[in-house]
Amino acid sequence: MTASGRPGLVRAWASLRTRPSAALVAAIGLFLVGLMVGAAVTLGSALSTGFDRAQRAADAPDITARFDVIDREDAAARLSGLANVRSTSFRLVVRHVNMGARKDGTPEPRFGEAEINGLQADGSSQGLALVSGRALSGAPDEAVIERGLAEEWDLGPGDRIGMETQRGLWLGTIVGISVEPDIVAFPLASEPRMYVDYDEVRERFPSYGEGQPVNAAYLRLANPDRLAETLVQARTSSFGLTGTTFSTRSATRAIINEAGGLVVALLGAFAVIALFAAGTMLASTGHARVTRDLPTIGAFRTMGFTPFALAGSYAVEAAIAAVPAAGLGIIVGALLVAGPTDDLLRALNELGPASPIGLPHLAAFAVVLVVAAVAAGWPALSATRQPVVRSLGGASRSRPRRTMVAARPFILGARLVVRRPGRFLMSVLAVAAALATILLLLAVGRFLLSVQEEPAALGERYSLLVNDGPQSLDLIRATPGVAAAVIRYEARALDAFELQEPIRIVAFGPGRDRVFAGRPLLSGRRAVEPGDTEVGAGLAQSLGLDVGGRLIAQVEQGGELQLTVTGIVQELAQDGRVAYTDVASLRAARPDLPADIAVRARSGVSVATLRTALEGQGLTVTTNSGLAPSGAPFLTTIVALLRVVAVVNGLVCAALVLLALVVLARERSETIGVLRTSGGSRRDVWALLFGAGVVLVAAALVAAYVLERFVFGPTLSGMVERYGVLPLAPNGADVVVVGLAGVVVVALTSALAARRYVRQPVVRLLRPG
Amino acid sequence: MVSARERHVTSNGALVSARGLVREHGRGTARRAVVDGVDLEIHPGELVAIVGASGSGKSTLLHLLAGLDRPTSGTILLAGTRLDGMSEAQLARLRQRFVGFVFQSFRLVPELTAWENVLMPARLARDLSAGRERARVIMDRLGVASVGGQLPDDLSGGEQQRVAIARALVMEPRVIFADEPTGNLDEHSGAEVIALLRDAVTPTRAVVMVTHDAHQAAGADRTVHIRDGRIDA
Repeated sequence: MTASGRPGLVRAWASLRTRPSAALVAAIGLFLVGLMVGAAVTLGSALSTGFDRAQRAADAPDITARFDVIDREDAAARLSGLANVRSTSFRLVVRHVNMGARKDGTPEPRFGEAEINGLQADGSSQGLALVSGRALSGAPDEAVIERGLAEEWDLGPGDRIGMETQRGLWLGTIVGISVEPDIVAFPLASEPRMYVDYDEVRERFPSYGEGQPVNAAYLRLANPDRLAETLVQARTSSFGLTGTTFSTRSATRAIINEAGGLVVALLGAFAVIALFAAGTMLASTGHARVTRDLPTIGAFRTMGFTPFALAGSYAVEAAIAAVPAAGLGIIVGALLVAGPTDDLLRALNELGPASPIGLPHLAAFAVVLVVAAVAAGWPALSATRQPVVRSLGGASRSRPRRTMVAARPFILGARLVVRRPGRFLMSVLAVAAALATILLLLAVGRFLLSVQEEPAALGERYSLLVNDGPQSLDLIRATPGVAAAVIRYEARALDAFELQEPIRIVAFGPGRDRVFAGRPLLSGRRAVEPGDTEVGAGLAQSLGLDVGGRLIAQVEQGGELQLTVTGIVQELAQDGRVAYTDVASLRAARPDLPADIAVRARSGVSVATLRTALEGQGLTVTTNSGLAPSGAPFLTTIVALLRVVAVVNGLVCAALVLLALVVLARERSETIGVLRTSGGSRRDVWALLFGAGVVLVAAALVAAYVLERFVFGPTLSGMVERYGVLPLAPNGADVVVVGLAGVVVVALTSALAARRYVRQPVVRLLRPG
Repeated sequence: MVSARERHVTSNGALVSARGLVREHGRGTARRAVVDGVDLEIHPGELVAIVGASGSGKSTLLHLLAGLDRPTSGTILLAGTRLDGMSEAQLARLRQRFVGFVFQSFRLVPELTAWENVLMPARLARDLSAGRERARVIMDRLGVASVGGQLPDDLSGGEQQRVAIARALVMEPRVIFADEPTGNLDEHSGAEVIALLRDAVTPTRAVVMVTHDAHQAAGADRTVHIRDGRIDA
């Protein structure tokens, strides 16, 4: 510590103790920063670690193999030759089983279809992460159900559950609730999962064969880093297993991302940007504090304070204030978004952290302390570079301009706030950062809504799909209200070279342009020749494909498909893992692929009317609902999350404006005093602060537009580049809405600040200091 | 016959009347009376100088009389209206109509031109058109009409104080309170300001001035000496 280090600490402590209102203002700023950081860290860390946490908790397999039913010993023999396998477990999976359950104490059971997983109670996790109750013990009539089903049907351990088996009704008791992180949760997934002892499933479903029938194997590797080699070996040694598909963790992650990858990626990226905004706010408040204190800094320097001791003193003061304020802010921010974040993770079958406050929050807290200290100390250090006499004179003020505008209190306030250009700029930047995040949020919300609800936003002109095959084409085309009907094929496939990651391959028959405009082309050209393909940016990125490259895929229940990549397109659906090609190429790989008919409604004809007309002809019709899964809980969760983040940002913005006005009012209390001495009423004081606030918000809005348009939007889009360039620029309506909201906030905060300055005697405002 | 109420004076014709005025500062054992039992009346047509040493309570007394501060106890009648119990909004309206204030450090708003500073009370009272005419006349009379377009930073101390006096006069108040109006001025400018305040006194208007300068106080119609918060007999 320098000679003046200890006095520096004394100064810091005395400043906090003797100027409680200034300390309170600083604390409010730090609380807000904490709030944003807490919310952002909770959201970002939970979303980025939820998948891995669930995989670890479940001891999820490195490779999942699904195949046609075979005897367990036979399957084990075929897989035993694999090197690098630590353990293998088998399951018998039966899909589309009618089931019902009744919550204890309620009279009415609920019914549905489930995927029954027969597994052996061998003491291992079996790939399940138990969240409530216990695992299967091997005793009869026990069931473990997935969390999504438990929550949707309000079931828990002890409740009764049953299923229709090939040997009559099976009735059991739920003993545990689990998460299996290899698919999204029910009801996002169409069928919930129910886990029953293997022997019971085998006995109850004799059609699956004698002996020990199994149709799924779970492989855990000794060295997961050698997954690719093991996978290649597994594919070659699985000869004799039919209908085999392999899935890896990265493929599982991709499947889960299909449900909401874009949304999750956007939210994660949004958290990063919120952290940036919080940093800007800290820098702004630190700068403002030091600018206000320049004469004091000058006075301390005349007493012999060294620059570093003085800077250290400010840094320590900020850090002391930050400990309770930022700490509380981080906790409150974390708790605010913890609920919606957990709901989102539940929908994705992922696990949240054990506690809403964890190591990431501690790390963020430490970062906030350091940034707060640096943000306060650095301007103080810079201030010591100017001559002492200039510090004593206070912050430089811009020379006011003579103006012909009448000096209404509103105009006067506007003039006051720009009088200190440095501080004004920093305040504008801080408010702009908060406003820009709100603009970004609106842009994200608008974009998600458009792609969710408007197929046209994805380039899809068809609004209905008829699932009755090509033979219904003429009937559909003859239906009144149909503008166009084109055959459409869609196949699931796995890439043949890499880690067996899932791909969707789509092909339209003749007349494609009438129902599908094609995704926006990012590079290359459209696929026009047989064997050409346009691939989504996500697929190109994951497989390292470029224009001119070859996409080799194994079509589900079909053969291999080799296509030449002619273009990379912006694909928002399915995590960008979609390839568009011609019908002939796709059908060559799988001749029996069923077709749908994409139907475009005539202009002026509602989708509902057309759907009714088609269904009236006995056709099976589904609505093309755009991008994201149509599961209502998922959307509700996303909307709730966006709302919480928006409210937090709105509060931050309002408080920033209030802080700026309080600082201005405190600094210019003399002017307010003169105003009141001259007969100025509360309304006049309000008008003065309102004028100052409006100028601040107006300038911040312009800066926010620029920030969002050229920094935040492109940055966010770049962070989720696998979806291509997203239209996240703010539009005029957003700016107007945010601007109007800003004016309302200014009006309210001005009233709040004015109230304080009108309540105290005028003479107190006129006192120096 | 116009009543005392209509003339905004007390029954005995005072524009300002204080009775048993006490203003205490501090808390607990540190509590002390800065103004301690003051009785005082100011009548139209007089220039009253309140004189005392530094810390004697003269400025506090002035602030209380002008309604800029609230007494701990005692009553004040300003222009026939009791100040105790008035809301801040009522006090603001009262100041608009009846009070002008001149400060030692001028307290002009640096962002406003001299003209805008003078016009500010008229604007606050929503009396702009008449206020403009009065401002023109007053600034002309005080010799600052030529600097109306300039900002306070561009004016000398004497000019700034004359602009401040013009601001205090623009609403034609019944009482002008001046707190050490020459404290920041040289001798020549100070004398000019005292002369202007003297001129501001009319049969319906009073000027109350705080000063520690006995020479300036000598020019007043009446001098009130204050010591330790009490008026010297």
